[in-house]
Amino acid sequence: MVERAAPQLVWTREENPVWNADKQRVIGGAPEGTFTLSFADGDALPGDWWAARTSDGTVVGFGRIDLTWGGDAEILLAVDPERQGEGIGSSILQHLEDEVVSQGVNYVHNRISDHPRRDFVHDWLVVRGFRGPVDSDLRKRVGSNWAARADSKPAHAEEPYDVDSDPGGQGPGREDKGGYVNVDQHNY
Amino acid sequence: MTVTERTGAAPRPTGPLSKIDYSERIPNNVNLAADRRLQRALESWQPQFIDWWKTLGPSLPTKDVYLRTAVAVGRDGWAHFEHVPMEEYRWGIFLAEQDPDRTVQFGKHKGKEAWQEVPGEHRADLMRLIVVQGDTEPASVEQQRVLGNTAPSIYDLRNLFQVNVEEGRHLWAMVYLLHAYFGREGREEAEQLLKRNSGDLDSPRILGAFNEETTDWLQFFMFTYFTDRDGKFQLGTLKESAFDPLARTCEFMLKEEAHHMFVGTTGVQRTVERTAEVMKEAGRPATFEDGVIPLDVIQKYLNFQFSVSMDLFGSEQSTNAGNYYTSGLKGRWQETRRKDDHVLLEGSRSMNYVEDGQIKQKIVPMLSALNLDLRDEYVADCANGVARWNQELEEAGLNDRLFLPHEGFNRKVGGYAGHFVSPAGEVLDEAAYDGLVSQWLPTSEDREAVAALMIPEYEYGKFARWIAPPKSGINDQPVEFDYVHLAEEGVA
Ligand SMILES: [Fe+2]
Ligand SMILES: [Fe+2]
Repeated sequence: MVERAAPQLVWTREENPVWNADKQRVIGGAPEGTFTLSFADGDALPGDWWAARTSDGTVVGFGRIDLTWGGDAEILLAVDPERQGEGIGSSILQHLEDEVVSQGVNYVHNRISDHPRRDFVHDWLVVRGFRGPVDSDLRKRVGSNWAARADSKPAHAEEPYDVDSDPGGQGPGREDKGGYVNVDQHNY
Repeated sequence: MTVTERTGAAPRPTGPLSKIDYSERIPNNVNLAADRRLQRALESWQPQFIDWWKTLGPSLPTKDVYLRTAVAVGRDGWAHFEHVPMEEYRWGIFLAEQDPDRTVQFGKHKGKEAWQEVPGEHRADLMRLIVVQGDTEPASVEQQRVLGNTAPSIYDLRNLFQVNVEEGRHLWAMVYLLHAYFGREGREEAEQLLKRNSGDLDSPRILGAFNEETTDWLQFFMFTYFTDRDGKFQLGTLKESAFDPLARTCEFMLKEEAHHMFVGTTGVQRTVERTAEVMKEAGRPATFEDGVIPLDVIQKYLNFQFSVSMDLFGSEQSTNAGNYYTSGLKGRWQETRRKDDHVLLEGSRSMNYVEDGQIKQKIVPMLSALNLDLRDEYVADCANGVARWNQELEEAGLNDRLFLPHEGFNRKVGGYAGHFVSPAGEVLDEAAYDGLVSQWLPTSEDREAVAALMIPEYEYGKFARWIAPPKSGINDQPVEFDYVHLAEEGVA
């Protein structure tokens, strides 16, 4: 795939992202992974959104980060269908990766199994550092490469443990005694 | 001393318990012996884990440590306490007892039987949830590896190691699920969990916050209070999962977390107690010269750890969080106690956002705001401990109080990211914020001064000056019990 040099894009965060005509035009239909809710014009959108504009203010793409617990970061990127192959997607991806890094997260995910051109998109992502099968999760270490490190040592000696003759068994007790406590009864 | 005195009190179990098989190389209550393939796969992972523990686990050489090991699990957990060399700790696979009638409690599969296998359509999502959870467990061990060198007492040292071995076991818990239910891909992810390392440039832990070394004990206590608690809330949502093996795994992990929470709450409490004592005696604010941690520095540590832990919950609104819920993968905190339809297609709630330099509210669909829902539950829980800490100040007759900073303070993630919000909740401009931030977050001088107080105290029953002793010991042992034998003693 040959791409022209990426145009200068203005990258702005949407403080209060809503579904609107620009998103309809660029993303088309409802946003990917919309679960069971559908969005009408003016509806607030989950996740963190950015718009990519050309210097005259025309929106040519969107980027979204959806971050759940523990740094589980999924990205969405969309380019105006009329403006594909101009390097806009690469530029948006770069911006998104920078944003993810600034949020303190080291990996991004993308899911494309439902994409109509998923093999093409898969190649596009793999070239840009994503790894993973086309029908599952694609993941990228943001700003660097995976480096595999493998070393192993033999197992330690084992010792059978006799539960029945255990003289020091300690029941649920309390957390201050060091016991196991059901979450409903946590005191601390 | 008899064995019984050495191992402690032994009350009787009160619920049905499934015993853990310790004759196996990998202790478990999942009948691992019946699945040779799985057993072999886990046995080949085990030496890699031990190797990881030796390289990146606690760096202080010890002979043995008075640790609890799960003996049986069920409605109750059942522990055995004894001195064990840490690298011989019996890390194992313990799931809470199965309820054969368990049904899915929420989402589109509500009312159907819980899953004993992974449904194909949710495979990738489930694996990701397990990997993210699994990544945080060993990360904290790596971050805390040097802390033993500056322990304020043998009692605290033991608690650190107890938390460390159990975070290691939590990694085992996630690895078991990956191996047992996710085939070759799962095994690869399990390997990656040991290859990603805290602070490693090429393959760091998933979250930046888990790549920073825990340098002093106040930070450790704050971490255990705020960040471990954060993990507890995530476990609470996975405990509701329709995928039964995950739910049962997390249920037992939560029982283990009780003691971790205790370590954090009382660690900070004892620190505040000592500082309050000095303030009361001197009739003025305590300083580092008094050999304790000044109250305003404790507040700064609190501000920092609370705000970075808030970031762990992700963006307030999330499509994926909604999907996880609707699919039955991840519930809400105490899902079954919520008084609503447990489907949430209709519900809405309000959330804060920043616009034109002001914090405003908007109404959003409930299903899109489940990260926020969990975070709110977490904040409410965090406030309990702060009240406990303030009791120390009150009892000392002081008017000073600790407080949780505003949810928008020092945030990198979600709607507050890129804004400058003070701990009191005022939106500032960048210059004003920069001028004040050294009053709100620990400066490098603060951290250095705290570090200078961190002189190890390894004499049984003695405590570093900056922290008060606990009211009682672990498992009914005295506070001055020999909870840890350092390696030197083994040599002598
Ligand atoms: Fe844990
Ligand atoms: Fe923990």
